[in-house]
Amino acid sequence: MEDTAIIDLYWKRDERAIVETDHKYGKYCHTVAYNVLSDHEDSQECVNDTWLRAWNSMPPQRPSVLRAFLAKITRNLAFDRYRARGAAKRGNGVMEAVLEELAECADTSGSWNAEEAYAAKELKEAINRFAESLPDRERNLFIRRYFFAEDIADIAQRYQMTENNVTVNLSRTRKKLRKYLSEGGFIG
Amino acid sequence: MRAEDLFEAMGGLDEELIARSERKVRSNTKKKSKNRKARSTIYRFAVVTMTTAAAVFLFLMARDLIGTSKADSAGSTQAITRAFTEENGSGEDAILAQGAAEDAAADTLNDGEPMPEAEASPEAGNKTVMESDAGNKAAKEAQAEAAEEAVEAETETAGDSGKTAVDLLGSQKGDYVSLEYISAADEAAGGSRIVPEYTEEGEAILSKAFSGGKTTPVFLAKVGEPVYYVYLTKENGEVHKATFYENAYVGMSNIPGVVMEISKEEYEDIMELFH
Repeated sequence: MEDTAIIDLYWKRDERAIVETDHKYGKYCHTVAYNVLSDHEDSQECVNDTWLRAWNSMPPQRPSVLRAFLAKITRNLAFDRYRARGAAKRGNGVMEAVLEELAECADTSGSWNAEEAYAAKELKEAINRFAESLPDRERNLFIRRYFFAEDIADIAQRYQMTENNVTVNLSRTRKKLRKYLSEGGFIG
Repeated sequence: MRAEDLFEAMGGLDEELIARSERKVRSNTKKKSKNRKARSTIYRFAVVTMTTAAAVFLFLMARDLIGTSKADSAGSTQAITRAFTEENGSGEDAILAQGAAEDAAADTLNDGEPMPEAEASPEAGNKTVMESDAGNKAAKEAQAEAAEEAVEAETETAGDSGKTAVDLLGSQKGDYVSLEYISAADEAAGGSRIVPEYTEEGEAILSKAFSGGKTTPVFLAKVGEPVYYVYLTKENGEVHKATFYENAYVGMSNIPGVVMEISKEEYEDIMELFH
């Protein structure tokens, strides 16, 4: 079924919307959640939560790209679930590596406070602008790694690059991000 | 700001941006799939081509082995059958009977002077294309003259019925204009060919012998030694040489590599006719 037809079902409050969404994007969303959680059971629960969130979001929202819309919900729900886990339960998967890498761009000594909604919004917008400023290839790698939390090997295979090449590319992007955030006053 | 805050903020990436990234990924996958398809097509084409080439190569090898490589490209078995059975002679008999035709041509052209082909000495490599054409033309003329001579010889031996030796072929006469024969022994000794007289009995024997039969590759047939040669000349000077072997086989120079088996009785009759 076409995305527009599925969105129409949501807007008509037709429960077939969830069936169709699950049919079309179930596996995709499961993968997105699994990249963060590394657990099938948790990922499946996360996907179910996604359908509920989507049901509550449409209407009023009418996403232009349903796939990305659902990916975003799933990813954020998965990350919430990840954070809710105890440190011992987090394991040592891709997510840990991703956070370690991002730590290079973070700065705990700064005055930035994530609790402030305004600051969080500002940071999101800054990252959006930063991603937009990147060349296509770099942006793709950046999004695959830090939005989808994909494994380096998978990214390398997807873009027909060597793992080393991907790693080097991401490292350069992180340096750029750090500089960008520093200039924006997000980190000291 | 912690790394987790940063990761969380990444979750706010614009959907359009994510979608664009997704599209890139998908188009990349499509490209890969297209490339894979193209490679697969090329591979299949290469395999088919190689297999065909191998099959053709094997076929040619097999054809060489059974000695039919020089046969008319129109087809081996059909051509063989046609050559032995055709009514009107054959327009497809494109292969010149090398030995007999050239001998006749050489004789007619100039006694003692070598044929253009016979000049193939070390100097032949320096010949120009024009010389080669001239040689071919001379050879053709010689063939035509040889044919005329053969016809004259035929006419001289014509009986009251007006039939000549070539009519011994009966319905197999086609566009042959003369028939001569010579025993293998005589030919080796440099003897002359004989133009036989026409007789009805002779026609019955020879026309039957040339009317076709079971053909066998030469290397499979125990043909024995050649006993008689029959030279058949066409209007255009082309000469076909039929060889009668001691074990009742007949071979035609224009159909190399195969021989036709005839019955012992037929063979005996032919031997008696020539004798």
